[in-house]
Parts: sequence; C-alpha cells; structure tokens
Amino acid sequence: MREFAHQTAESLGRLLVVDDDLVQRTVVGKIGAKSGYDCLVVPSLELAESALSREAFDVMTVDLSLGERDGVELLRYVAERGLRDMSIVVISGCDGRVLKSTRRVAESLGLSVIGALGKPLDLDELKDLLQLPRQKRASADLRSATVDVAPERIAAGIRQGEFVVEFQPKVELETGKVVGAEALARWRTAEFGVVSPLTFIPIAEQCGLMPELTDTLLVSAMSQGRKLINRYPDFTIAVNVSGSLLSDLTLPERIEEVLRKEQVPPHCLIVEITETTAMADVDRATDILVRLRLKNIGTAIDDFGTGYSSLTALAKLPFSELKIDRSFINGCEADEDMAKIVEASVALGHAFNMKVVAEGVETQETLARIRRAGCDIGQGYLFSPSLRLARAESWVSQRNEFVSQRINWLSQQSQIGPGVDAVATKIA
Amino acid sequence: MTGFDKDVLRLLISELGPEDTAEVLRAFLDDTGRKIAVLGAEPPDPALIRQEAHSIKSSAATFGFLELSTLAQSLEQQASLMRPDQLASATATLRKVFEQTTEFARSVLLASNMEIVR
Repeated sequence: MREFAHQTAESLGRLLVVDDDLVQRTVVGKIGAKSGYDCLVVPSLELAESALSREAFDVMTVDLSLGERDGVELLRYVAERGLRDMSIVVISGCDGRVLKSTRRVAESLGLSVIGALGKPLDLDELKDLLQLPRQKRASADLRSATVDVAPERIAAGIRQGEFVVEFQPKVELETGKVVGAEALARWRTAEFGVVSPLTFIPIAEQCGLMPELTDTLLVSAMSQGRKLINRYPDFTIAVNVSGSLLSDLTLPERIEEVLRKEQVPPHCLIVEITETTAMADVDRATDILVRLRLKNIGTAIDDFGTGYSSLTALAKLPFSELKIDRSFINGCEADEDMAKIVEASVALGHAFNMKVVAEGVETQETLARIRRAGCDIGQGYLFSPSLRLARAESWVSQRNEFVSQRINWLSQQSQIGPGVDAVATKIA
Repeated sequence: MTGFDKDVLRLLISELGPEDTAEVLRAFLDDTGRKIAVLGAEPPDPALIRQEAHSIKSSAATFGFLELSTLAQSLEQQASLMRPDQLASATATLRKVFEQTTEFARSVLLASNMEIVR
C-alpha cells in the first residue's frame, strides 16, 4: 500500500488505485498525483475493500484481474456499500468485449463508470479520464432539483391542456427527404417549467392515467400534425402508445374517431408501441394491432433491442416499422458489436417487410454507418431536435425544398441522372 | 536493442519525469525478475505461468519492451495447451529475453536523465 500526494496547486480529491500489478499501479498512482489527486495505491481486492470501508474516495481505478479474485467482485462490493457518487475507471488486459461488458455490469449496478481502458495503458486517455470527475461535479452543481409531481397534478394538467406535442423529423436516408415526424410529449407547467416525459410518464403509468394522457396527446398530435400532412401527402406522424394499453379492444375505434374528427388519412398515422413487454395479453394486442393495420394505420415497434421490446413481439405482431433503440445507434460507428446488432436488426426488419428506423442519430459518422447498415430512415439531433409545430413546418419545408433543388440540379448535370445515393450523401 | 519501441518509453518519461520513470523501471526489473524465477519452478504450473505471463505482457509494454511483451503474450495464450517440456523451454526463452532487456534497461538507468532514449 502506498500514498502519492497531489503535485498540483490544489487537490482534486482522493483517488484509489487497485491493481495487482506493481508497475501498472505505480504508473497510475503517479499519473493520478500529477493530475492533482491524493492517491492510495493498493494491490488487492481485500485491501481495496478495507480502504473503502474506512474513507471516501472521489475516483477509483480498478484492474479487472486481481490475482485470484476479480475486479467485478470489487464493483459489487462498491454497489453494496452504496458508493454511487464515486467515479470509476475500469482497466483490463482482456479483450475489448470483456471490458465493455464489465462496464455494463457496473452501470447496471448503478455505479458511475467514467471510462474503460485497455492495456497497455494509454496515458493520455487516463489523464483525460481523471479530469472528468471534476467536470461532472461542476455540472452536478448546476443540475436543478428533480420535480416531485403528484398524480392529481398530472390529471389537472391533462384537463387544462398543459400537455402538448413537439415534432422530431424523420429523414429518409436514400433521398434526404423528411418523410415524417415523431410527436413527443411535453408538459408545460407554470410552477415547474417544462417537465420531461421521463418524470411524468412513470407516474401516469402507476396511477392509471395513461389512457387519458395518450388520448390527449393523440388529439394534439393529429390536430397540429395535420398541417404537415396537408402539405406533404405521404407525411406520417408517429404517436407513442404504451404496450400496457393494448388490452383495450376499443382502442382502434377511438383512434379512428380522432382521425375522422381531425380529418387525417389513416395511412398518415403511425402508432408506435413502447414497452411491448408490458403487454398483458398478446392475443388482445394482436387483435388490436391487426385492426389498426386493416384500417391502414401504421404500427411501429419502439426501442427495438432493449429490455422493453422483445423478439416475440416482433415475430407475433403485425408491425410495419421497426425502430432500433438509440443505445445501439449512438456510437455504432466505433463499436463493431453495436454495428452488428444494427445490421442484424435491419435484416430482421426487412425480412418482415418493415421499414427500419435508426433513433438517436447524432453525428455524421453514425449516419454513414447506419446508411451502410441499410437503415431506411434516421431520426436524431444530427437532423433536428424536437420542434414546436411552427418551427417544424419551416424546417421540413426548407429541407425538402433543398433536397428537390439538389436532385433537379444533379439530374441537369448528368443526362444519365444521378445515383440517388450520391445525392443523399451530399445532402445529409 | 531490438524489439524496443523508444517512443513508448519517451512518452512515459514525458508524463512521469525521469526520476519517477526510473523508479518504476527499477520496480519492473525487480518484480519481473521475481516472477520469472517462479516460472522456472519444476514441475511447471500452467495456470501460474498464464497469470504471470499476463502481467509481464502488460508491464513490459508500458516501457516499450515489445519483444518481451509479445513473447509473454504468446505464453499466456498457449500455456494451458503446452506439454511440460514445451513450457520449460518457453519459460527459458522468456528468461533469456528478460536478461537482455534488463541489461539494456540498466544502461538506460545509468545514463543521466535517461538521455539514451530522449
């Protein structure tokens, strides 16, 4: 066990280095000290546990192979002690897959993993990671307190029309054209400002407010989205419906009624089923989805690939669109494992004659990768965040205008006419 | 010396400074010397060899001793498949390369401020 004191003007806090390799732990400890930490360097799981039981650390680096024991046991110990504020860097000489899985284990334990490093250590990468906790602390200070909402407040909000939708555009990758938008729920309140769906959806689920809330959002999405649909006849608006609501056999009629009132053609609505695992009764769900499809309404399986969305649902239910969860899309260009999942999902979707949508597209690199994987449609910040209707209208019109100009120009340039891929590459 | 990546050691020196690098390098020589002595024990223990080879692989690479690192890596991967005589000969080769590495490392340590590699 050794101590290295920080070698900077001020201390960034305590760093615990756990590594059974003498050279490795000494190097990490010294880099830590030069980065500004007061470091305790220990060679074993047992000593790490005893250090953690005695004092608090801001950051811990842990080598996964600790002789007889392994680093995952230590991560479990950290979780049991509830040390969730400590930032963790995992290090391993094993292959990248083991490292990534370990990171997931730690995250599932609720631990704050700030990085995973292979061996031999990239010293610059280590130094960068050791600067992260400070930034994290700074942003934590800025984070506002979470809103504590009573169910009655949500019910009142529904009655008072505080729930509205914003539209996030969906772009066809082959042409670059905007072909639709997902309507996303927003709750505008006087006292808490705009409340995130991550806050109010679970509460609404728990106290049985989802049917009312879904109806409200559907009406709002259709009455507003109609403006986009009138302008572009094949434009689709997607509305989220929880799998838990697919036991109410009157749902297709209720939806049809809204479409009639708002004068929206059925093929312009896509019902996106979230949490297909929450479906109480697959037979009833099938009944409902089949009738939606017979009415020419689109159906999408949302968050595909996560625990909320299963292969069973894909195989048994008549979906017309598959939305690959953002967790597979984000960064898939740099992660072959994720890229494989994306490619396999595209193959599955196409095998079932579905359109495949990539959610959470945030960079050009990701876009290039999902295009190569064969996704049909992209959605995400790279294109646009969710927008209020007026802004969505102008965004869609500008983009589609640009796309058609571009296609005209290119076809004038070449008698043979442009390959559509070439157009798309230049646009997105 | 062959099988040595000067840039790796140079980077380590620029991060840690010559004194700390020298301290870590000495620790590496002592520690690895002890490990290699254990590996020579009769009869060879494949599990132990695998574990120590894994550790030598990473720490040798930290200083840019690539030949030693690569050799340790192949020993780590193949130890469980090797016959005792193959294990004995593989550990003997590892020892020989470590001796060459040690000789070179001592010359680096003797040069003031590790100038040899800078």
